[in-house]
Amino acid sequence: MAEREIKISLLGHKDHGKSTLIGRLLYETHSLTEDRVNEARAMTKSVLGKDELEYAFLLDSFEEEREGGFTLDTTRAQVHHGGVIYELIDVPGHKELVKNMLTGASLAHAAILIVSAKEDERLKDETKLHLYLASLLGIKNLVVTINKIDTISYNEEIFNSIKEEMTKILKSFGYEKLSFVPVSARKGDNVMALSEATPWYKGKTVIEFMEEFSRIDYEKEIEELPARMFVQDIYDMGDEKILVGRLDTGKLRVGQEVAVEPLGVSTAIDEMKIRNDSVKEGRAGQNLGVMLKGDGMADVKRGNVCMPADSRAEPVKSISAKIFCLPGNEIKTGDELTITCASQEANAKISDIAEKMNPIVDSEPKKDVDDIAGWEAAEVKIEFNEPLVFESFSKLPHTGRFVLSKGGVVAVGVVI
Amino acid sequence: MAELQDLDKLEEQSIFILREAKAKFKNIAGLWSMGKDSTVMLALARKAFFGKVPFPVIHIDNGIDFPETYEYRKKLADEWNLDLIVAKSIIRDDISGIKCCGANKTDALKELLDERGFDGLIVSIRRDEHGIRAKERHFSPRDKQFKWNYDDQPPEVWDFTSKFEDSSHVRIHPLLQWNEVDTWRYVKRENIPMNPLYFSRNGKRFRSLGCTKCTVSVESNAKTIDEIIEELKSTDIAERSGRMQDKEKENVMQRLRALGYM
Repeated sequence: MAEREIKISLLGHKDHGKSTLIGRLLYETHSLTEDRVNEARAMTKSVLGKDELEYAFLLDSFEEEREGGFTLDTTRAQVHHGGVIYELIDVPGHKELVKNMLTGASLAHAAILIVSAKEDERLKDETKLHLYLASLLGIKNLVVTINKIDTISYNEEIFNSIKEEMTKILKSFGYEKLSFVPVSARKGDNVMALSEATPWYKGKTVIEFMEEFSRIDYEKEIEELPARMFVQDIYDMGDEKILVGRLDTGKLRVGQEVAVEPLGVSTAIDEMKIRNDSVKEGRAGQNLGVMLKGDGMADVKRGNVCMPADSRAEPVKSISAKIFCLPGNEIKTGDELTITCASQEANAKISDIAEKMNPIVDSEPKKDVDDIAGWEAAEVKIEFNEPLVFESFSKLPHTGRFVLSKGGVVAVGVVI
Repeated sequence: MAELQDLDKLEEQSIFILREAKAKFKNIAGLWSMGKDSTVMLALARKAFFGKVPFPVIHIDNGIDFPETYEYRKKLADEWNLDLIVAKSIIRDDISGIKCCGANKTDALKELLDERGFDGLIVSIRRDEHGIRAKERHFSPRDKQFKWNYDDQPPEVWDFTSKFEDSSHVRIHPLLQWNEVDTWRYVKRENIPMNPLYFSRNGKRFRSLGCTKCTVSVESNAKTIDEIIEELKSTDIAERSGRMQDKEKENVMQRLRALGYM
């Protein structure tokens, strides 16, 4: 079995080479069957009329994606390398497809941003947008690959000027620890091994950065947080009831004093099950069945949150949050919305917009506004019609993130 | 393809999705083809729901599945106390391949869903099986015309399930993350009874099962689960190579799925 599994999202503009880099990694690590490689070769020949393999065709694709040469929806591919499974998530680069990008990027442990070095490509709207969203989603581990370095004759000065320009943007989105790799995904430079074409680059290769990301113990980080379990459902077991849910963070054990919020119930765990087996302890990532002492079970329902009494979160009726409005939508203060955080759901409205800005085009935030349009990010106050469990995203991500819906999903957000 | 996924983690994720499906939808059902994946899904459901499968399981039966498949269906349905719905579909002689799958399996499913009003349908597809399945979400709505609008899927941010207001039903995919070899490792670990057609007889076995009209066996001497796992670790041939409807054209599966096929 693999020692570790890690999800890495590829970010960047549509033409900057995300799919090509993933294809290159799949190919070099022999993560695909010979069948698939041959299929991609045949496809390259028939669609593009080329003999040289189009690495992007190694990824699964829709017919329109191959013909149009871009990614329409999130694609996942597994790179197997050195005892680790890297699940690479290719997200669409089109800014109109940002909801698909969020679907792919929201579960990533780390990200690789791709910026083309080609003279007319470089820093684009989508580059900024993806960086903004990665920062909103709390993706801390990020490396920037400056791709198509062959098109600028492996020139160190141009590489440095792109790096300088990118550094400003990265810093404005809160990224401090920055690494840049000169890459040609098509030719393979600095992907698996340092390239002779860039003797001036002494840093790590793309695969070495991926290895570095894989050495971070994400499971331990989550286990060390206070325990939070969203109640998913209550099952009737004949004489008794059992509540089920996935423990998102921390650990819970039998006998532990717990609070069920926003119900306001204080009790202790009487019995705990994983499938049909009774267990003494449950840890983050496990789906648990929990029975509570006394009449603790009487009113528990889907959406409640079970947590240790000593790290109890006080339910709230409003939050301050950062939200991003999905393209094609508009939110006005007072609009009737639904807020969803895991199984927790309630009616909500935005009562105040402190400021808003479009991360692509605006350099200064706008104040005194009462609506948020697609592509705009805003700092808002959200009120609910009933108390909910919400905590600061930076302290406890699982109870600090949410989506807002009005029919469909209109915005994603995190609690400040 | 040396590395194997963690079966415990895969099981946790599938159980989470199955429980979410049960909680979010009013009337769910599972598709059971008697193949390895949908049988693993039922084994996972028995774990998720403390010993029983709490939803009906549907077999779209065109009457020309293999005899072994019917025997296996009866045996397991009895043993696991399944609420089995057999939806009869009619094979027409005048069409074959993709048109046949579309006309018989998909249409029979449409009729049944209309009749029984299922709003959630558990389908045991895996991302690694076929290109286009890699684009599916865990919860994926089909519109009123039963179509999959793959270019306009609702976002699945973190793993929150969306509301699906304009859908006829939502496809639920608890095994999306599994690979073929994981299914077999799990079958072994959990001792799940399997359709005998998967094991080698006279130098051939079925790697993927469909109806007798469109499924061919592959060369194999794998007579046990262990031998199948070993075979999969070294194979360079795609799993569905014996399924003719995949072969007709590059994008045939995309068209089939857009029209409501599983």
